Amino acid sequence: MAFFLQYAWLIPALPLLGCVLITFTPLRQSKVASGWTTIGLMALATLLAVGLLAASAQGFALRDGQLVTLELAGHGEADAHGEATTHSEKSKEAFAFPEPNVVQRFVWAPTGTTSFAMGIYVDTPVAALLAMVTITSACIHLFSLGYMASNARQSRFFSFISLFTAAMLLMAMADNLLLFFMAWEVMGLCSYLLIGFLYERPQAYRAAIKAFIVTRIGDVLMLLGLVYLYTQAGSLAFGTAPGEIFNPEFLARIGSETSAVGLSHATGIALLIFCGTVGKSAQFPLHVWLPDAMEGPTPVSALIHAATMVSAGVFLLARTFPIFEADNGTALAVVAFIGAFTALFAATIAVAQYDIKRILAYSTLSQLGFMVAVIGIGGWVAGMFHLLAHAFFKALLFLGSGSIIHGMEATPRIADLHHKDEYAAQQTAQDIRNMGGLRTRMPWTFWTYTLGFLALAGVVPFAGFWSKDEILADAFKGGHWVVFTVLAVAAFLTAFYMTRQWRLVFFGAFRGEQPVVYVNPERRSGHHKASHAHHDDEHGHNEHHANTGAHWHEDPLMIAPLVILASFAALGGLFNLPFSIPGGHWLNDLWGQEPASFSLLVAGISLLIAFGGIAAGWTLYGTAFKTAQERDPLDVRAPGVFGLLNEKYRVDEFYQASIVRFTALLALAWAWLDKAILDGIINGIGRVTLFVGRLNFIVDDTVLNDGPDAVADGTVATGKRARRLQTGKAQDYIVYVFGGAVILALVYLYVL
Amino acid sequence: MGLFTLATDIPWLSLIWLSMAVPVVIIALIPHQQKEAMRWVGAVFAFTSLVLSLLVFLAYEPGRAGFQFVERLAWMPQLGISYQLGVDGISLPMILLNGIVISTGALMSWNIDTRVKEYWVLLLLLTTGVYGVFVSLDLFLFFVFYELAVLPMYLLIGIWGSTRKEYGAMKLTLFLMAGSALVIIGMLALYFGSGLRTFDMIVLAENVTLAGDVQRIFFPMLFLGFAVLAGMFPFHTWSPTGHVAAPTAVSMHAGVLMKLGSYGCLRAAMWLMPAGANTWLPVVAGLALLNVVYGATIAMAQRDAKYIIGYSSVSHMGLVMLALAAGTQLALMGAVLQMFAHGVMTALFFSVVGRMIYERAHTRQLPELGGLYKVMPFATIMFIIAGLSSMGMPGLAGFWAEFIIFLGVWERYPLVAVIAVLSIPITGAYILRAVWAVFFDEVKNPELLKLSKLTWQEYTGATILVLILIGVGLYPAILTELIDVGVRPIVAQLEGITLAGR
Repeated sequence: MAFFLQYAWLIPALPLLGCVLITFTPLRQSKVASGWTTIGLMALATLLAVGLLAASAQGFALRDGQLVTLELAGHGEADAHGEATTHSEKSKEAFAFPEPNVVQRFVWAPTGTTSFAMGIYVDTPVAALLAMVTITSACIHLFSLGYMASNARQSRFFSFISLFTAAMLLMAMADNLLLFFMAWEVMGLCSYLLIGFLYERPQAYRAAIKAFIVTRIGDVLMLLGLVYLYTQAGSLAFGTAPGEIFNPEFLARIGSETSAVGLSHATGIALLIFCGTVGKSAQFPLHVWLPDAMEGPTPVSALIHAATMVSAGVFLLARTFPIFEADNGTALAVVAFIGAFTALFAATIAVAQYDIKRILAYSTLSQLGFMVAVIGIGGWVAGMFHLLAHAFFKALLFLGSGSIIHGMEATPRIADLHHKDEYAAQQTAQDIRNMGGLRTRMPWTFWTYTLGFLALAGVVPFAGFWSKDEILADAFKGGHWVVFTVLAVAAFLTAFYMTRQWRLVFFGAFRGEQPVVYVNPERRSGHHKASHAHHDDEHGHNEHHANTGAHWHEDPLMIAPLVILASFAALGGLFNLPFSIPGGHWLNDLWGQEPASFSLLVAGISLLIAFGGIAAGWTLYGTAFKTAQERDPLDVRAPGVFGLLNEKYRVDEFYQASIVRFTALLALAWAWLDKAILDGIINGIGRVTLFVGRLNFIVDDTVLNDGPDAVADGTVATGKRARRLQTGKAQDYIVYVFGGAVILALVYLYVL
Repeated sequence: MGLFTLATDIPWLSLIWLSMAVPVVIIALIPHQQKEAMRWVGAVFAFTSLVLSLLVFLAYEPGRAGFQFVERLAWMPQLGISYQLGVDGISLPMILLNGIVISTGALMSWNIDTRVKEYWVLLLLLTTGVYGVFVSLDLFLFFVFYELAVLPMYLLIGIWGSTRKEYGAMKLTLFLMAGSALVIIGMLALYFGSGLRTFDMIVLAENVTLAGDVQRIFFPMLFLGFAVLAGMFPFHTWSPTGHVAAPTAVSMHAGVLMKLGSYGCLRAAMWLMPAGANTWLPVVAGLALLNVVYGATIAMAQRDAKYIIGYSSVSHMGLVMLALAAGTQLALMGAVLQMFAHGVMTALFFSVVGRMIYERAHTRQLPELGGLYKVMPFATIMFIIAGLSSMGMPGLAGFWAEFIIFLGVWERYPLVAVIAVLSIPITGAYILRAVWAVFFDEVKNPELLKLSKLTWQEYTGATILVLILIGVGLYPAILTELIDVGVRPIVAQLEGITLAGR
C-alpha cells in the first residue's frame, strides 16, 4: 500500500511519458504502435490510481515517508467542527476536507520573500477522481484506436489526448491553486487542439478558437481570484495549517473583512474563482462554447467535453468549497442560482435538437448545472458523487453515439455524400432524424447505450438515479424549494429528451435511405478530394452490398470500452447507496462527511419524474418520424417555442451582435484613431516644425544676415540654401525637427 | 547564480560590449565580396558576447546583491563623468536577452545580400549600444550608449526595410530623438538640481538630494523620454510602423530596444527620482492600461501579420509599464521578467513572420496567406508556441511574467488589474486568428506550396528561442531569484518616500 502512496506522482507522469514517447520518437510513424503505447501506459496509470484509491480508502497515509493509518468516517470531524464553530455562527457545521493521504512538495519559483512550493496533495476525493479519470480515459484511448483508425494523424491524436489526461490528473493532484491553474490551462490548450483536430474544416477551427477564447474569459477572472487570494493569504497551498488557504482563522478573517467594493474578501475571491468554473464547466452565460466543441472527434467529446475537463470546473468548486462557505452565503447563492438556471436552460434546448452529439452536449451542460447547483446549496458529497457517476454514463453515451455515427457514415447514401463533402456527410450522419431501427443493426451499441440512457434519465437502480436522487434530496432537505423545483423540472426534461433520442435512434424503421441532407454553407471545391483520398478504399467496399445491411458492423475495439463503461453506469450507484448497510454511504465515509439520509418521498418523486419523462417521450415519439423529412411533433404543436429552442434561445446570435461586434468595431475605431488621429498629429507636428524651421531660416537669412549691401548675393545664397534645405536627405530634416522639438519642449516646460 | 567566480582583474562587462564593437572594425576591413566571411565574423562574435553574458550571469552572486563586476575609470572628472560599469539583478536578464537576440538575429540575417558590410556594421553598432546601456552606471555614459543604440535603426530600416520603410524609419527616429531630448533635460535636472554635480547613478540614488517639488516637475520628462521608447500610449505609434518596416533582425532587436525604454524608466527615472515617481505613477498606470487594452484590440483589426505582432508588443509593453506604475516588489519583478519574456517571444515571432514567411512568400497579408502548415510545419509550431507564451500559457515564460505582474498590480490597483486581464482573451483571439489565417486556412495561392525549405540558421535560431521560452516557463527561478534581489533597492527607494510622505 505504501507503494501506491509513495508513487502517486506516477499517475500523471505515465500519460505524459506516453505523449512524449509518441511525439518525439519514431513511434509516431506507426499509428498502431503509438496507440498501444499510450493505452498500455494509461492502463498502468489506471492500476496505480485504483491502487491509490484502495489504499486511501483503507485509511493509509504517508507522513514523512512513514505509513500511518488515518481515522476514517467522520471521526475526525469532531475537532474540525469544534474549530469551525468559533468563527462561524451559521447553523450548519463548516465543511472540512478529510486528512490528506499523500503530500509531497518541492520548491518551485521563489517570488518575493516567499517561494511557491509545488507538489502533489492527495486526499480521498482526489483519489476517487483519479480513479474515475484514468478509467474513462483508458476506455476512450482504446475506443479511439478503432474510431480514429481512418485518420492520417492518429498518432498525433493519441499524443494530444495523453497530454490532456496527464494535465487533468495533475490538476486533480495539485497541492496548490497555482499548479491547479497551470494544469487547467494546459487542459484548455489540449481542448483547443483537439476540437480543431480536423482543422481542414473551418467549422472545427472556428469552434476551437471559440472554445479557447470563451473559457479563457473565465480563466483570467479565475486567475485574478487566485491573485486576490494570494494577496490575502500569502500562499495558494491547500491545507488547513497556518499560511495555507483553508486555515480556519484565515477563512474567518476574509469572511468578515470587507473589501473596497462592499463585498467581503471571501465573497470576492469565491466569485472570481467561480468564473473559472463558469467558463470550464460551460455554465450560463459562458456555455456557448461547449455545443460547438462537438465539432471535435467523438472520443474527444466523450473524454474532454463530457467526462473530465468540463467537470474540472465542478471539481474546482468542490476543492475551494471552504472559501465559498467562509462568506455570508452570497457566493454560494450565486453558485446555486447559476447552476440551477443552467440545468433547466440547457435541458430545454436539448429537447429541440436533432444532432445526436449536440443533444448529449446540452445534456452535459444541464447535468453540470445539477452539480454546480447542489454544491451551491451545500451538498458537497452529492455534487462530487454526481460528477463521478455522470462521467461514466456520459462518456458511455458519447462513445455509443460515436459507434452509431461510425455505422451511419458507412450507409450508402452518406458514404456517397462523403465523397462530395466530408463535413456535410458527417453532419448528416449525426442527425437523429436519419436514424431509426438501429436496435437490431447495432445490438451491442443498443444495449450499452440503453444502460447509459437509463442512468441519465434517473431510473432505479442505475448510477444516475442514486446521484440525482441525492441531489434532489439535499435540495429538499435543506428547504431550497426553488432549486428543488427547477432541478425537478430539469430532471423531467432530461428523461424526456433522452427518451426522444433513444426512441428515434433505435426504434422504428431505418430512415437513412432518404436522409435529411445537411447543406454545408461553406463547402469548398477541389479541396476535399485530395484530403481524403485515403478514405476511399475503406468505404469503397461497402458500396456493392448497399441494401443488404452488411455494412452495419461493430468494431470490437469500440465495443469493449462501451461494455466497461456500461458496467459502471449500471452499478456506479453502489458506491454510495443511501442506506446504512455494509458498503452503504461508502463515498460519504470515504470523504469524511455526514451520510446523506434517504427519503422515500424524494426517491418516489424523482422516480415519478423519470418515468413521467420517459412515458411522455415514448408516447409523443412513438408514431413520429415515419420518414426523416417529417416535422417534430413538438414543432407541429408549438412551432414558436420549438423554433426558439432549436435555435438555442439565439444566445450565440446575441453575443455575435453585441459583444463580438462591439469588440470588432472598437478595434476598427481604435485602429483608425491610431492611423488617422495620432499619426496625423505626429505628421502635423513634423510639418509644423519644418515650417517653423523654414520661417526661422528666412528670418535668419533676411533680417539678421543680409545687409542691404548684399541683396543680390543674398538672393543667390537664399536660393542655394533653400535648395540645400530641400535635399530630401532625411538626416537634414531630423536636425530641423529635433531642433524644433527641443524648442517646443523648452517653451512648453518653462513658459507655459 | 553564483555558480562559479570569475577572475576579478578582467573587465568582463567592457569585454561584453567590446565583443560587439570589435567585429564592427573587423567587418569594415573585410573586402566587399567576402559576404560569407562577414556573416561568420558577425555571428561568431555575437555568440561570443552571448557566452560572456552567460558567464557573468552565472557568476553573479544573488546572495551578495547589489552591483557586481563594477569597473570604474575617470573619464571627465571635471564634469563628474566617469566610465562606470556594473550589473545587478535587473540588468543581467537584459544583457542575457540582448545576447540571445543578437545571436539568433545574426542567424536570421544570413539572407541579407545587399550592402552586407554596412548592414552588419550597423547591426553590431546597435547591439553595442544596447549592451552599453544595460551595463552603464553613469548617466552620461548611459545616454551615450543609448543614442548609439537608437541611431543605427534609422539606416537599418531605411535601407533594408520593407513596407513604407522611409516613413517608418523617419517616424521611429523622430520619436526616439524627441524622447532623448526629454531625457537630456531630466538628466541635467538631476545633475544640477541635486547639487552633486555628478552623473554617477549610485551616488545620485544614495543621496536623493533633488527636492521633491523639482522631482515632480522633471520626473515626467525623464520618464516620458524613456517611455516613448517603451511604446507608451500615446507615443507608441512609432513601434508598429517601425517594427513592420524593419528587416527581420532589426525587428527582433526593436523588441529589445523597447526594453531600453522600460529599463531607463526603472533605472533612471524611478530610482533616481522616487518622490516624483510617487506622484506621477498613477497617471502612468492609466496610460499603461490604455496601452494594454488598446494595443490588444487594435491587433485584432490588422491584416498584416507583422502589424499584429507590432500591436501585440504595444499591449505587452503596456503590461510592463503597468507593473512599473504599481511599483511593488512583485510588480517590478514581473515587469523585468516580462521584459525578458517578451523580448524572446517577439524575436521568435519576427523570425517566423519576417524571415521564414515574408522572405519566401513576399507577403504578410493574412488574406493572401494560408495553408503554410503544409510547407513549413516547423514555423507553425514556433509561431504557436510564441503565441501561447504571449497569451500566458503555463509552461512558457510569458505565464510567469503575466501572473507575477497581476499579483503586483492587484496589490496597488485591483480595478486596473481586472480591466487589464481582459486583454488576455483578446490576445488569444488575435493570435489564434493569425494562426488559422496563415497556417491552416485553405491555400489561396498555389505558389505558396512551392516555397523553399528552411535553412539551418533558421532552425537553429528559432530552436534556441523556443528552448529559452520553455526553460524559463518550466523553471522561472533561474531568473526570478536574480530579479528579486535586483528590484529590491528600487522598491525600498519608492517605499522610503511613501513612508516619509505620511
